Amino acid sequence: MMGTLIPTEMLKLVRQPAILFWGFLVVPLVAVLLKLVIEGFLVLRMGHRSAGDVDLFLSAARGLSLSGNSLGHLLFALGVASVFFLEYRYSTWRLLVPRYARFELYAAKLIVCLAWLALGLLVVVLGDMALNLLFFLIKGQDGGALLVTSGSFSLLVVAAGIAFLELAVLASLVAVIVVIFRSMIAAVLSAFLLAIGSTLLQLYLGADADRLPLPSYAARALRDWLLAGGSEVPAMLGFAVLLGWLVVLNGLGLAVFSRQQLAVE
Amino acid sequence: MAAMTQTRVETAPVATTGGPAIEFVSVHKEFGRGAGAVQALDGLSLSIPRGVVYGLLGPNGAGKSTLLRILAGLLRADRGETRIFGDAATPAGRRRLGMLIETPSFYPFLTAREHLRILADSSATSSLVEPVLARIGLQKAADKTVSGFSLGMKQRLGIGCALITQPEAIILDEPTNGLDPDGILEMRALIHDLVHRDGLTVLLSSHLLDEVERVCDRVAILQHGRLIAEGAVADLLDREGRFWLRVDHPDGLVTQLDGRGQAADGGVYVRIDQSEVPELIRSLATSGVRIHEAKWIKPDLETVFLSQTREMK
Repeated sequence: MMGTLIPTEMLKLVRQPAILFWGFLVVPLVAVLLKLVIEGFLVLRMGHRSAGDVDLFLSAARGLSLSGNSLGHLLFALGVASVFFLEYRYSTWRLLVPRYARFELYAAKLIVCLAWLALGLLVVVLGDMALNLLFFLIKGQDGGALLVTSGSFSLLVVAAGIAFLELAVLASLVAVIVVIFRSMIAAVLSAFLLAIGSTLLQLYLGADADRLPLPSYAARALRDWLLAGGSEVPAMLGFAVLLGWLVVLNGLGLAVFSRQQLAVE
Repeated sequence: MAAMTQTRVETAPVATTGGPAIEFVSVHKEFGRGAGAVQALDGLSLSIPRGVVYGLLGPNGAGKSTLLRILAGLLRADRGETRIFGDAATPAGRRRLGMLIETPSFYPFLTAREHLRILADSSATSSLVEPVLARIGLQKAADKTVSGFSLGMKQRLGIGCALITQPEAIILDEPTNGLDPDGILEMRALIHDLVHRDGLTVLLSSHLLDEVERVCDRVAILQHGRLIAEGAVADLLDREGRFWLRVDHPDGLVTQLDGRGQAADGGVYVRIDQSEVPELIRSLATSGVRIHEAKWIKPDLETVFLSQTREMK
């Protein structure tokens, strides 16, 4: 039945363009736009000529670190919360619950959110590569070579996996809070506070904060290992932390939703 | 042999054979905990036969909506069983039902056609979208978003959503809400067709007692989460029938009837079976009571409902 539910969820989201744009597309589009403005300003206004070579895939891999951006989390949380809160808002669980298993309903919503988050990451990757190509064409050979290597391609794939895992944890967190509290605000604020709180803890505790099993620290440890030559052990721990969050949050979300009383939706 | 089987299949009334369409067995449901807990359903058992229009009646808070929400899988019973066509109520079983639960709720940004299509996809009945739109009279508005629909149009779409999956039974909670008199007539005809032409079972919950009396074959009256009366509408009406006599001295007759009579409306109401009426008249005449007027009063469903629910209070 998932085969019919996923297109249904997709249709519902596509027919709410504001949520689709602000919740899933604005962050990657702004990231690409910012790169265009900053680099374009440097190149066109100031006549700046960067001498270094540009690795097309490595640059895109670095661009994927936007998955750890607090403001990005706020907007992504809005998108995911809107998808899960829709049925409570319009009391439409009564249309779906009699016909589908609750596991399927929950999973379909999560899958659609993850698909759009993945598409957002793809926009970042393609946007970054397109801009690098554009600037290479504008700057010409004087601006350095444009490198395309299979090694950095695998780096890009792993970086995309890390970014996707981090956003999947965020989506799962938002989903479970929407279901438990039947509130969109509670979910969005919780996700945002977690992101902001992680940053503040980092400021107060410094390196000690890295020991806390928080998703943002875990994802950063993975990115450091991948892109900045960080050590392997924290990265593996970070991977385990992210997976742990994903499993626990989705287990909790499914457990709560499958037993949830919908006397009023 | 094959021909015999074929003949039997063609002639057998599909919907009315076999066990009940829907069964509730000792269903308990309580909301809240401790002193503030509300017992919504108190061991309710109910069996809805196939191929009938079954009415569910009860005052506010009687447990009707809770019962339907348990059937729809929106609520979980604390104890007891719900069976759909003999099987435990699972999503697969519920796909054999079409449901309109309470106020119809829709996605305001989707069209009527899109609503029907997404539900049809769940049961591979996409070819029914256009016929259902025609049946509910929403062909012209099919491509308009639901945000612009009146309550009556939403109610029609709700019926369409219940029909689109080609169900074997339909659950309708207050189906005439928001409908104008023409719409109510059409709804009555539709319910009649669903049962008598298509062989479906209809479980109907409504506050409109005259409506229920017109369309339902059987009814159940709930109060405080319990079943207080159940049966064929005609039987319930007969059971509540009373004999009224206008006599010279009503109070004397009440005493004479030893608790079976009640003075009212200038006469005496006697609670007896209709078959006992000739004997009563004979005995009263023998004992010298002058009877000026006598009539058998068959109540309407409203009277039965009020009588049953007040007795329980």
